[in-house]
Amino acid sequence: MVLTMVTIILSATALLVPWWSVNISSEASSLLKFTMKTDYYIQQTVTAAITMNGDTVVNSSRYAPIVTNSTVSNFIFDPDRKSINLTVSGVAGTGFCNITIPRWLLDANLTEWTVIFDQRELTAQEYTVTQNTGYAFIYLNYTHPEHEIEIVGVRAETETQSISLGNLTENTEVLSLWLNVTYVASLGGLGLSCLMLVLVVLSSFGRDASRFLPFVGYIATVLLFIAPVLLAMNFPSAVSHFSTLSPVSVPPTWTPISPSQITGFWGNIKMQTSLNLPNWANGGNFWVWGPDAGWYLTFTASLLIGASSLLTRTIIKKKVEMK
Amino acid sequence: MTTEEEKPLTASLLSLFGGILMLINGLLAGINKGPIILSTSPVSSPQEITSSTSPSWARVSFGFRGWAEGLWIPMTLMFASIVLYCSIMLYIRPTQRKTLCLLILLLSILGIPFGGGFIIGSILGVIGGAIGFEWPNPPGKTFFGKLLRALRLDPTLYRDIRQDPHALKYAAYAIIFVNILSGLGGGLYSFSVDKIVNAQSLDIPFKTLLLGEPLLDISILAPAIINIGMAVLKWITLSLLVYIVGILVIGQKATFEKIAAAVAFAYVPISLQLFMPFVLTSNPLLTFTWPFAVFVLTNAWVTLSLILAIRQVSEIPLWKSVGITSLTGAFYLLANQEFFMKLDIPYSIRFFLQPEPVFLTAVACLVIVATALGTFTRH
Repeated sequence: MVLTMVTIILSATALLVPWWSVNISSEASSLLKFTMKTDYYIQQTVTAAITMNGDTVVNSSRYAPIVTNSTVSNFIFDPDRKSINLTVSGVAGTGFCNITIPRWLLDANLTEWTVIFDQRELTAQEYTVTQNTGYAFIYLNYTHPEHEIEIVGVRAETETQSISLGNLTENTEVLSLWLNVTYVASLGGLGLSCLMLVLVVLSSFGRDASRFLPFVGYIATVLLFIAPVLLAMNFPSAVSHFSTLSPVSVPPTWTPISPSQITGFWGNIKMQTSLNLPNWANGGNFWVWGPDAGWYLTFTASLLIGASSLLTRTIIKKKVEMK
Repeated sequence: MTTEEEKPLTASLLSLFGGILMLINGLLAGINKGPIILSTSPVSSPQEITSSTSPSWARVSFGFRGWAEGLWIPMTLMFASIVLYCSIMLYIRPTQRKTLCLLILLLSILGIPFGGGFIIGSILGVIGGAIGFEWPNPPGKTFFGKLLRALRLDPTLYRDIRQDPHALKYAAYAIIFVNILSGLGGGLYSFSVDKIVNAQSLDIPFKTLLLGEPLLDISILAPAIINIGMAVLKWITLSLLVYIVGILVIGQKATFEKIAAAVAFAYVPISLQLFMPFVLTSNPLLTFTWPFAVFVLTNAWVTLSLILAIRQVSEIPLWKSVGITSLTGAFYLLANQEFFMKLDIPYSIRFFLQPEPVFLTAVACLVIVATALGTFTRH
């Protein structure tokens, strides 16, 4: 009974959590100070999230370099306000600050940038903006001791995005089909697991329901087992012809990833030295993909309900022997 | 633990919990897409932890990189489910215990590279499987039960040894088993440290310390194998010392066989050195502090076990037992440092008490402690 209850909890939870995901690996995340994860749900939705690991990005010379003779603190990227905030401080005297902003993170045309200095919006003559395809450079002078600077752009990478497969411009029919098959099989397995629990309860109250128990259990096992297996077999080919894997764009300075590289349900792309990453990081993963919580929970549920069915059969046989 | 059970409940419960932990570990590793690595603080570069001025940092990895990921995860989940199934079946059909326990034992050991249920799961599985194998023997009277009682410093264990005609046979098994474990732990640890410290580039520290990739080589088996022979010699030496000191000083009646059996079980805490390589640390701690801490802890534990063992087997008061342990400890230290530790075993961990005058002073102090406790006074 306990195993059946656990199966029901696992397979019900599986319907609410992602089944497959692609994300930057933990080692790449610690190097870049960014995390990016795209989740595929069985209900035909895709969610993507890109997050910065707090203000530690200030220390990264790779992604938000700030050249200054002041001390920088309180660095915050606010995607809702489309702004970067920081505080500069130092002993008395003239200070300068040259902030390099990755344009995939925060962007604007050359004349659209706004710089707010101690709550006052600066005029275009009070600071300098230059930009190339990858970065915008904002330079300004001030006198110490302490000032708050806010740089406001026009477009910011939102931290999370959720999109329905049906709203994508690509042909998602094949993926939709297999997600639907998996969904139906999981629901069927969940329903039969619930039925098994009812039969176990009835048996414990003396009703003669035990003879159906192993049969119901075996069918539930098969359904819960084929749901993740079918998805694993068909998912890579279904996504490989997409134009992009994620509704959030991958920063241009990162190792690129394209759907055609998804040749297996599990996989990874290694780090590339050409991307200004340290040599010792070679051999580490940049992108990793594979099944997520939903897939593993359903797979585990199938094993547990299988074990539960076998145990039920043994107990019934033992009771018959004792009679 | 020492009472007989109608059904193998203890074994079944232990392996059940082991299976549950293995299942949770497998699920988490799957979601994490790699082994679960817990560290004291986040690190973005191996330089931060390999230089001599690095701050204190430690990590424990549940599972090996390359194993606790990808297609291996569904297999781990299958292993865990089979352990769960077998542990429940063990309770329902104890007559099939040999097959079931063998499966539990095998899968619990095979689960270690995948995380082993945060290591604890595999340990519970191995203990449960081994105890279930010997059912209907009471759990405390099984081989693993005795090892656990020795770890718990259970005085009744040594009383049982006094009455058990087969005690010496089990004691020999215990010595071999315990020293294989400690040899493997020490060998794996010193091999890893050697590779990390002497690495020409930072990629080995990166992969080992930060990603949880294991450094394995056939040569780490050397200390485990040599340790067995060495351990038997050390065991006989210590047992002889305890026996001779006991006869000469207190005129004890316990036979050499019983003393040797008790001393063997007192060695059990040394097996905990197996866990040393699961924790790796930043450089100053890596090469000395962590292995030294494990060495001191396990040897202090052995000393306490020995005091208890001598007290129970020789039926003497506690202070007298402490005195005999101090006196034999002094002779044993001399033999150990002057002979056993001089043998150069590859990838073994050894600590020398130096300089020589300090070592001799420590030995003398032990003799003084024994004298002060009235060890030489006969009542």
